[in-house]
Order: sequence, then C-alpha cells, then structure tokens
Amino acid sequence: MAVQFQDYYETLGVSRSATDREIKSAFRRLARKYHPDVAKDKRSAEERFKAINEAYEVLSDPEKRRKYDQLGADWKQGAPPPPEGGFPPGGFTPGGAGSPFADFEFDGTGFSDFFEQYFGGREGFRGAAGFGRGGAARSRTAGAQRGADVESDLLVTLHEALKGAVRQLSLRRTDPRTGAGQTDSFRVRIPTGATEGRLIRVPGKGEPGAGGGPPGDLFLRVRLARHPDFRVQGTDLYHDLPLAPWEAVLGATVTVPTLEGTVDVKIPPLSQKGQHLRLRGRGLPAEGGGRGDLLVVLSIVTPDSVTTEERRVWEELAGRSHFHPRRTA
Amino acid sequence: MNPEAQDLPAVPRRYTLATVIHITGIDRATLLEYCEAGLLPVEPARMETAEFDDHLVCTLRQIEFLRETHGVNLAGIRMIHQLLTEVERLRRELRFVREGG
Repeated sequence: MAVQFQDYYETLGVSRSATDREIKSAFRRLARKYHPDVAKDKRSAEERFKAINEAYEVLSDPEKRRKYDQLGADWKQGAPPPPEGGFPPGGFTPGGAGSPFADFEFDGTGFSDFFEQYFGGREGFRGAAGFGRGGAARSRTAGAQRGADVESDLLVTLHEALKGAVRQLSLRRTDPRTGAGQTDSFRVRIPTGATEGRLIRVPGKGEPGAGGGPPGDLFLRVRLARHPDFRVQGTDLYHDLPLAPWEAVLGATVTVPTLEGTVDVKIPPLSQKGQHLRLRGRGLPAEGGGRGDLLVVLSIVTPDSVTTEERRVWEELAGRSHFHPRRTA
Repeated sequence: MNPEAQDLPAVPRRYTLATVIHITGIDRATLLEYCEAGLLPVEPARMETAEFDDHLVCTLRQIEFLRETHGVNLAGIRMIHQLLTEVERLRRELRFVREGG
C-alpha cells in the first residue's frame, strides 16, 4: 500500500521556518480546539487531534524534524528514500521465518502509515534486527514454528488513560507472493492507568506461524498523546501556570484545569518561579490503586508592553522597593 | 471493516507462573535461570508465587530471541536490556523536559 506523505507544517498551520516556540504555540491552540473531550463533532475532532499530535510529535523533536525536512524535499522529487539510519519503505516488514505475510500495516493506532514508516514503530526495540518485533519464533513441535511477535505504538489520550477505553484496530496483511490482501479487525481494551511505555499484549495477532505453528502476539506500546495543558511524568501531571508579578507577590486565587474540569487554586503570597503546588489525587491512576498528583508549576511573566500610567507605577515601585534580586545574602 | 471482526476480551493484566510458561513456552528451570541472572524483576525465591504482566512476557520473548537468533549469553542480554531500558527512560525524560515552559 502506498504511503501518503503528511505535511506536518500544514497540519499545524505553521511555516517551514517556524521556531520551536511557534510550533508549540500552534499545537496548544489546535489541540485545545480539537481535543475530543471538548469538541462538538467528536469523531472528526478525534481524527484531527491525532493528526495534530502526530505532527507535533515530529516537529517538536529536533532530530525527527531534521529528518522530516530532508524527507519532504525528496518526496517532492519522487519516491522517498529511507530515513538516515532507518529502514526501507514498503510497509511493516517483520519478515518472520516462513511467514507468507511479509507486509502488514495497522490502522487505528493513532499514527498514520507515514509516521509508522519513518518515525514510529521502527526504532529502538523494533529495530531492523527484529529485537522485540521479531520475537522468538519458538518451536513447540518438530517443523512447526510460532509466528514472530509484532510491536507497534498506540496513541492514548490522557482521558483514555484515566477512564480506560476500547479501541478498534485493523491489521492489513499483504501476501508478497500473490499480492492478495487480508484485513483483520479487532478491538483492544486500553486499561485504566495505561502509563507511557506500558505494553498491552494481544494474543495471536502477530505474524502467522509456519508449518502449523501458532501465530505470534501483538504488543502495543502505549504512547500518551500530548496534551495542551499537561505534561506527564509517571502518574503525575504537571501544569505550567503563568502568573503576573503582583499575583506572585500578593497571592491570588486562580483557576487551573484538571482532567475532570477546573479547580480554584490559592497562590500563596511571595510565591517563587518554579514553585510547585501539589493537588493530590488529580493525576493518572497508579498501578496499585489510587492516583498520582497534579503539580502546578508557577512561572512569573512580565507584560510585553506597558502604558504610560503603568510605567509610572512600576517606576514608583522600583524606587520604593527594598528588593534586590542579585544581592547575595 | 471486516464484518467478521472478533472482539477480544479484556486483556488480563496479571499472569501466574503457569500461565507465563504456557504463553511463552519457556520451561520453569529456564525461567528460574533468568531470574537468578537478574534478567527479570522477580526474586528467584518468590518466582512460584510472583505475578507477571505483559511487559515481562515481552521481555521473555526478547531474551529468547537474543539467545536463539543471535547467540547472546545472559550477561550480554542483561547489558542490552539495561541499555534499552535506560534509553526508554531518557526518551521519556527528554520528552518531559522539552514540553516544559
């Protein structure tokens, strides 16, 4: 099956010379707009949200972006070459011993074929040597060989990780000898608390066995979708909260997002940049029960411009304040 | 969409030793050898009663693959596994740091 080139810059609505900050800003704006939990048309929004996530996954990573930029130029001239240090185009090719199905592709994982081929399930554990993906084609009986295991990434939103979900996947296999295609559809349950990197085994959905051997298994590796408001570390969520200087000094009550709506948080007076405020039990579900925390990370921002009146007040403060940030104790 | 699509039951998250032996085809003595070599996060003395998950099943398949296909010994497998685990951890850390600010 032909792999369609995805214009990630177009998906995010940024130019090819966009800075990291512009890319991040575009992602957050679009992700908020198309997040499946807030959009009115959930089905189309979900597709768009996945596309936005995929584009950001590549463009926010300097190495992936560099490869993508090179690939884009080649694509316009014709067939894309394999990425540097990568693998030849032509679909997922586990190439297990004796398997008639050398080519197969997934649908429903949240990543396009294009991404899978050039940036996704072809790195690290799933390298060309087949470690992990090749699995152990272990013989159980003479002549019979179990099919190789297959590993693929599965994009999971934070809300799916929080509540659990069922995902429809389809696996298209092509017999290279006959060109005949075969599609196998099945549902996979994403367990509550599916943290980054967790493996979900789907028995019998790997490569077919040879000589009457059983098929291999499919291992889906959870990749948590980027969220416009939260960063994830284990089961903890981090939310970066910008404060005006006077809010940090005087204290304030501000509204912050959580996965289940907003809450009001009291900012103590004389708060510092980088200070963490912990909201217990507002993170992702933990392995042994309970939930991680939501940590609100404070940052202090200053205005881009000031009016004449504001400048006068700042100057008055500067003249009266005893605060000297560079004085050592 | 395949009209004969068969829904899978919820994937069990925990397996007994007997189930792991059935799934992987690896015998008890070999599993104990892997535990003693520090390849699995299970104490050898507690292997019989330990609970296993999908991650461990995948690890076992990787170990078998390295042994059977590439002839890597247990010390080599342990080193490869540690390095890959560290790479995965660093990737997560890098992703988290890049998202900051």
